[in-house]
Amino acid sequence: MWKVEGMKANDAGMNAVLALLRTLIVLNALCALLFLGVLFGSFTDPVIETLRADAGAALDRTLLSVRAAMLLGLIILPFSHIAFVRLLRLVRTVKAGDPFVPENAHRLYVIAWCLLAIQVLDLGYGLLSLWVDELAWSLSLTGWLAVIFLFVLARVFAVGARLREELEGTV
Amino acid sequence: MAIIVRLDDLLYARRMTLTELSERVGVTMANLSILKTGKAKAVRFSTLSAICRVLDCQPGDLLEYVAQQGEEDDVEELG
Repeated sequence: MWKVEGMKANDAGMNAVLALLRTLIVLNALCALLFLGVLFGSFTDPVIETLRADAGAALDRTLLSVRAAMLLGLIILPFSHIAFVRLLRLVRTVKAGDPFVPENAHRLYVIAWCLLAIQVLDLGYGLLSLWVDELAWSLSLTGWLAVIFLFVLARVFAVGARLREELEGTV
Repeated sequence: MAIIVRLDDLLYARRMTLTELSERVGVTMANLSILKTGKAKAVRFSTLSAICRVLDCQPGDLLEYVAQQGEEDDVEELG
């Protein structure tokens, strides 16, 4: 193993990141429950009547857009869950001092693809915003940029893992 | 591997333990074990010179090349 000496300060940072990721995973799951709740709720009479009071003639459009938004969210959330979990495992190897292993290159590819899926699904919200005035949406350039970053980083880690393997057994 | 490491013989000749060598050379016991048991794939010059300094020997005393069958194949891989 290749524990890098003198990086104790980073342990605190990595622990903070791990705690944050665990929190995000929980929030992600709670979000899914919320979206499910709203989605099912939109088919129940009490909710429909409340929305009818606000929307009036546009009730059908409002109901459809709410359901579409919730459905899109529910499709996105598994991808963010997978990304968070993979990142969590990657950070653990960073904390252990040996991050340049082939598994991490694979994890980064998985995270990159998940983020790409999320960005594409985010375009769905863009389409929805064209139809519904109340929904504000702007193209997330940083999100798309992050996708590029992650694919490049995955490749960097693959090269790094190969370099590290070549050094294995060097005294 | 065609390179033999004669660390045991040298340690015995200098009446030194692996632990003591590890402390004086500044190489971990784990790495010295790897070297001693012939599992090392590469040795840094810094490691080699430190060992030679402490054991008062030449690289040729520590390392020995033994010609092996199929050596031509190994050379292809290094390319």
